[in-house]
Amino acid sequence: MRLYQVILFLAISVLILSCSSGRKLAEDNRDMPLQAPLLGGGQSALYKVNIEVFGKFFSGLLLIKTDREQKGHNIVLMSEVGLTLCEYYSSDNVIELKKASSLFQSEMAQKVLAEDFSLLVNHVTSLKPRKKNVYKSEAGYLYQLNEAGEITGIRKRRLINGIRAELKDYKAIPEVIEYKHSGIRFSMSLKLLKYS
Amino acid sequence: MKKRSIYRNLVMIGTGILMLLSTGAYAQNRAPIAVEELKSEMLSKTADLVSVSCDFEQNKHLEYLDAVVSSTGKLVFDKNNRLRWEYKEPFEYLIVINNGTFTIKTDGRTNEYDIESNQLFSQISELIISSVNGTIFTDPAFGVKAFKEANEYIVFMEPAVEEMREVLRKIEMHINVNDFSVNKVIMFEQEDNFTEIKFINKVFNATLPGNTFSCD
Repeated sequence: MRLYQVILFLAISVLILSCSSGRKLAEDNRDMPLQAPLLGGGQSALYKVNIEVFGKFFSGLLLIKTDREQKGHNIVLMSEVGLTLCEYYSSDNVIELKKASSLFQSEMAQKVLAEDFSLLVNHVTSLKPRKKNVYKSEAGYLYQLNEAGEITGIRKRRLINGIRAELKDYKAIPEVIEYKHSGIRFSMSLKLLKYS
Repeated sequence: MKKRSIYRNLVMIGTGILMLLSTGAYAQNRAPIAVEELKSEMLSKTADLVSVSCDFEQNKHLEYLDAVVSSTGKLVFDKNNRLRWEYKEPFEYLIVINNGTFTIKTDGRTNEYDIESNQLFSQISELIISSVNGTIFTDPAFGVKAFKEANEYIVFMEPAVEEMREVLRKIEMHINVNDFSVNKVIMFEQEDNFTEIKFINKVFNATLPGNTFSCD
């Protein structure tokens, strides 16, 4: 009987310890830079993209690839049939539009996409805790983390073009990402096709 | 010293012969042909063609990124200019052109566009159909050069219209000499990006299911 009690005590201790280590990981993120959701450790990711803007629907493919010098990310939005629509380059947390096809000349869409994409590849520094597993960046974005310290939500309230992103089904990177913008009727969903 | 001079002359003569041989080989491999001649021969040889169905392999090359985006699918085309272009891997995406309507189905969502009233889709539709049936090189919107190389006619098309040139720099089409079917289309964008679509496992004049040219 006593032996059973000892085993039970040990098992409970192990459980408590394992739980507390998980909480510590999340709390550590307050002081540590937060890893970008993409491409942690990987070289490239290909997503299927659906975009709805002012009631119009578009689809395509999104390729995100680290550059040869490993300093930044190239981000290419293309149609399924292979035509490049626009290309961005992100480095040191700054994203710039490199090129946009004549088929994709909406400045509003280009800017909204630049912000959406930058949230995927930028590392976040100086996070301040707001509530459990929710942190605020210097740029004013609220980051929701799961117990593993992965970003599951990003939110920023604004009068025009507020943003809410949900990042789901993490394997190495999120398999599903959904954006909703308030005020401008712009939404985008990404589904992972390939990751390497 | 004299030996060195003989050696240098031999190298020069050898290089000259090699250059002549390679020029001759190039001229022999890729012989220019008249576009009108190719067009009329194509029309006569494909007069009995009712339908073509095939698989396709698409590779988009982003040279500066050292990346290739690959996809595969199935394509069906009939003599009434109806088309079913279906991507199956790694994503599902369906284009159907039928009876003046351009339909796209992806992720359970279907969008229909009237080709007559939508200039963009009218142009895209024409570009796709003429690329598949090989008549694109008769389009006055392109400057065309044609060559014969081994078992293929190779047709190079450069858009004459500035707007289209901004999207596509050049289209290269490889046509089978025997059956005049399109083996391969390469679309060159600005810079070094290009998309190559290979048409394989072709079946001619097969009986097509009734719903081939619908998104249902």
